[in-house]
Amino acid sequence: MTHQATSEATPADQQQPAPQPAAAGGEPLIEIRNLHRFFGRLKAVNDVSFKAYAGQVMGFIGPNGAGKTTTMRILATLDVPTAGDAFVGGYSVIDDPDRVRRIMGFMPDSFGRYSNMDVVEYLDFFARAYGFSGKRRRDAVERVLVFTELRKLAEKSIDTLSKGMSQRLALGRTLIHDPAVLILDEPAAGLDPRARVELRELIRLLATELSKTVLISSHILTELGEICDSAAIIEAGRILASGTIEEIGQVQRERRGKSTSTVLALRVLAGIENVERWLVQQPFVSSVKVAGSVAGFEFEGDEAARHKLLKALLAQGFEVVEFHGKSESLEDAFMAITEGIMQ
Amino acid sequence: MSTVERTSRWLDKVGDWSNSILVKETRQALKSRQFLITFMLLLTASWAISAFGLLMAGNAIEYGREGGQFFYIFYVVLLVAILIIVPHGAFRSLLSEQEQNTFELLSITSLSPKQIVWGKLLSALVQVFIYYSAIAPFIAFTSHLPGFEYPAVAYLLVVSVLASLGLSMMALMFATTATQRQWQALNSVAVLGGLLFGFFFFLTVAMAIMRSGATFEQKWFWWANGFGLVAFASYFILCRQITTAQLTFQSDNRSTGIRLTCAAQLLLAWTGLSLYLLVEGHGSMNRESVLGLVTLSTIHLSIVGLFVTAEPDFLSRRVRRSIPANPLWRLFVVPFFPGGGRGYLYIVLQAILVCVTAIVVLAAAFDPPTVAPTVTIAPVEYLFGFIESVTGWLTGDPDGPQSAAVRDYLAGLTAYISGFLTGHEQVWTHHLQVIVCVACYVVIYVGLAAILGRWGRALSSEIKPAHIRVIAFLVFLTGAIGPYIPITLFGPRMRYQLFAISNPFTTIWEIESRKGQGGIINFFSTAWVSFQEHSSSADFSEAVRLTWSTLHGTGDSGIVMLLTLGAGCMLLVNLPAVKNSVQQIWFREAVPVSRRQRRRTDLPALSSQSSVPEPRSDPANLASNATLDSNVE
Repeated sequence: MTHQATSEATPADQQQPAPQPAAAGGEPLIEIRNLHRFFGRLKAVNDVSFKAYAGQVMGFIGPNGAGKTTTMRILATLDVPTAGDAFVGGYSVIDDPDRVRRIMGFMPDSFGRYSNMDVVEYLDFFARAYGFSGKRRRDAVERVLVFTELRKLAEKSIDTLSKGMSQRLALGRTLIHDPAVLILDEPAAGLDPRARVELRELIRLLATELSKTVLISSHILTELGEICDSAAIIEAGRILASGTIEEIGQVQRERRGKSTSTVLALRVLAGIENVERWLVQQPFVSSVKVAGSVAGFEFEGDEAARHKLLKALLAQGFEVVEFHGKSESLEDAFMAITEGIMQ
Repeated sequence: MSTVERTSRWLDKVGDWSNSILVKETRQALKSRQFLITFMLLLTASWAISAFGLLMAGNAIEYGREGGQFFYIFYVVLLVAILIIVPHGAFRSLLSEQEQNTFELLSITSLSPKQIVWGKLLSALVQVFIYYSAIAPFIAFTSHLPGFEYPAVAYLLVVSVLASLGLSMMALMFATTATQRQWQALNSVAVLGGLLFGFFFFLTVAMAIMRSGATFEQKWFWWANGFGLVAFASYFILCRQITTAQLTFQSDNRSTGIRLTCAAQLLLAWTGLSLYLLVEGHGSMNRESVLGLVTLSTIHLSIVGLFVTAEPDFLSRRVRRSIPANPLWRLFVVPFFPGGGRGYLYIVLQAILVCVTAIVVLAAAFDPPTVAPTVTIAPVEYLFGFIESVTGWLTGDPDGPQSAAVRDYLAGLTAYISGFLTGHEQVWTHHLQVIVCVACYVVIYVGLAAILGRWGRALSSEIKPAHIRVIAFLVFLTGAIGPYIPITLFGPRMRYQLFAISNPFTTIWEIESRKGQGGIINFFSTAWVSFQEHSSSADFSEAVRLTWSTLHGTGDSGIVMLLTLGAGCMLLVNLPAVKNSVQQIWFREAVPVSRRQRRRTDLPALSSQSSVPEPRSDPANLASNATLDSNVE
C-alpha cells in the first residue's frame, strides 16, 4: 500500500475525471471524492475523501455522530450525497447504483430479521433476490453456510439465533452474491469476546483468502487495529486522517514537529518513579508516561543514540527487563487526532 | 425418477421462475400464526354454518329458495378473510419491512421496487385463492340447493377477487407513505377503517345483487361494469405507480410514471364518455353530465397538481440522462419530467385539453342551437364555413353525410364560441362559462401551490414537498370556507357576493343557476360605457366604484372575467419558473443553485459547474460535475 495519508482533498482530486470500472488490482475499489451530506443545518458528512484498494481492510473510525454510518449508507446506495460522489469498483453510487449493488455487500448495524424463516430460507431468499436460480443459487447458499460455519444451524429458525450467530448470518447474507467490496457497519457491536474474535477471523479471511476489500466501522479500536491495513478517522463529518496506521502516526508526529521520533517502552522490576525522573532529563526524550512498571516515551534520536540510552539506563543500575520500540496503536492515533467534538 | 421427485423438481423450477418476494412471502405466510388461525376459523365457521343452516332450514331445504341465503352467509365469511385479513396482511408485510430495517436490505439487491410491490401483491393473491379453495366445497354444496343463481354468484366471486386485489394495492400504497412511527400508527388505523368500510360497502352491494339478481340483460349494467373495470384498472395502476415511486431510489425518476398514469386516466374518462355518446346517442345523457365530468376532471387535476407542483425542480444526473436526444420528442415529454415548474405546465395543458374536449363533445354530441346571425359572429361563421368547405373537399364528398355531420358540428362549435363572446345564446354560454371557470380555478389554485413550493424551497431546505402540499391545501380551504364566515354571520338568506369568488363550489353553482347573463364582449362594452358615463360626472375613484357596481349587476360574466384575469395573472407569475423548467429539459441542464441556497449550504466550488449544460455522452463530465442532490425529495 503506497498511498499517502491525507487529511484534506487536493484541488486536483476535484478535477479528476470519473474512474473507469476497476479491472486491475491497482485501481481503488472504494473511492470517496469530496463527499458532502447535509441534513438541514447539520453537516453530517463534510468534504470526505479517501480510497481503499483490493484485498485491503480499511477501518472507518470516529466517535458517535461523526458521519461514519452516513458515509457508509451513501456507499451502499441507500442515501444520496448532497454533493460529491463515491465510486465502488469504479461505478458512481449516484449514476450507477444498480452496478454498485452487484459488486458491493452491505452489512448494516441492525440485523434485518424476517419472522417465520429458518437460516437456509433466509439465505435462499437473498440469493433469489440477487437473481440467482437453480444450482447456482443452491451452491451460493451452501458456500455461505460453510464459510460462516452455520451448516449445523441451517434448519434453525432465525428468531431463535444468538447475537453472535445472527451476525454470522448477516455476514453470510452480505456475502451471498460474492461481492468484491464489503461495507460492514459496526459488525462486532454487542458481541461477546469469543464471538468477536471469531467474527474478526472471518473478516481477516475475507481479505486474505478471498481478496475482498472491506470497509469496516467499529468502536472497538483494538479489534480494528488487529485486522485493518489502513484506517480513515472521521470527526464532525470531516476526515482527520487516512492511510495505514503507521502513516497516520507519522502524520501526527509531523504535525507536532517530531517527524523522526519513535515511541519506546521499557519495563523495570522496581523503581519506575526514579526511571521517569531520570528519563525526562535525557536528550532526545520527551512525553514520558508511566503505567505500572512500564514507562513509554518519545525518542528522537537514531539507532546509535537509542543504544547509548539503554547503556546509560543499565549503568544507572535500573533493573531493566524489557526495552523495545512501541508501534503506535490505532487507539493512540485516534486519541491523538480526534478532539471529541460533538455535533 | 419418482413422481414426488419430479413434482419437487418442477416446483423448484416454478420457484426459480417466480418472483422471489412471492416465494418468501408465501413461505412466511403459510407458517404464520395469523394465516393458520384465519384459515381454521374460516373452515370452522363454514362447517358451523352448513350444519346449523341445514338444521334450521328444515323442510325448506327441499322446496324453498335457501341456496341464495346459504351462499350469502358463506360469502360474508369469505369477504372477512379476503377484504380485511389479506389486505391488512399485505399492509403489515410492507410496513414491517421498514420497521425491521429489512427494506434497506431488499433495496440493495437486484430486486426492483416494481418487483417488490408485485411480489407482495401476488402473495396476497395466493392467499385469496387459498381461502377460495377452502370455501369452494361449501359453495359447491349450496349450488345444489334451490335459489342458487350461478351467474350472480360467479359475478360476485370474480368481482370480490378484484376488490381484494384493489384493497391490497391501496393498503400497500399506504404502507409506503409514512416513515415515522406516529404516522405509521395513524396509517394503520386509517387502513383498518378503510378496509372495514370497503367490506361493508361491498357487502351491501352483494346483498343488493343477491336480492334483485344481476341485470345481465340490461345494457347499462355492461356499460357500468365496463366503466367500473376501466376505473378500477386505472386507479390500480396509479396506486402501484405511487407505491413503486415511494420505494424508488431518491435520485431516480419518481414522477413520470405517475404523471403518465394520471394523464391516461383523463384520456380514458373522456374517451369512455365519447364512446358512450357515440354508441348510445345524445339522448342517453344530458349536457350537465358532460359538465359533471369536467368538474370531476378538474378535481382530479387539482389533486394531482398539488403533488406535482410541490416537487423540487432539480433534476438528478440519473434523470437528466433519460432526457431524449430528439428535440421534438424532448419538447413533447417536458410536462412528464419531475419538477414543480413542469408540473404546473402539465396541469395547465391538461386543463386546456379538458376544456377543449368538453366543448368538442358538447358541440358534437348534442343538437346545435340556432343562432341568429349577427354582425358580431359573421366573421366567425365565415371562418368555420371556410373550414367546412375545406373539410368537405378533403373528404371528397361536399354534400355527403360526413360533410353534414361536420357542418352540424361546426355549427355547434360556432354557436358556442359566438355565444361566449356575445352572450346572445344564454344556455350555450353558461355551459362554456362553467367550463372556463372550473379550468381557471385549477390554473389559479395549482399555480398558487407552485408559487408556495418555490417560496418554501427558497426559504429553507427543511421545508419538504409534504409541507408545501399541506400549506397549499390549507390556502385552498381558507379560500373555500373564508367567504362563508360573513355569509353565515349575516344570515343564510344573503345572496351570492363577489367576494365569495375564492370558493369554486359556490361560484360555479352561482353561474350554473343563473343560466348565463351576458358575455365577455357585453361585459367589456358595459364597463367602458359605464366608466365613460361616470367619469364625466365624477372623479376617477368614484367612476371606478360606480362602474364596479354597474358591473356587479351584469351577472356572472363579471365573475368569469375576474377568474379569467386571475388565471392569466397566475400564468404570468408562474411563467418564468415554467420557462426555466422547460429550458432545463430543452438544454438538458441542471438547475442553477440560487444565491440564497448557496449561502445556506456553503458548498465549495460546486455551484459554478451545475449550471453548465452537460454533454450526455461524456461520463467524465457527468462525474466531475458534482451533484447537488439536496433538493431531491
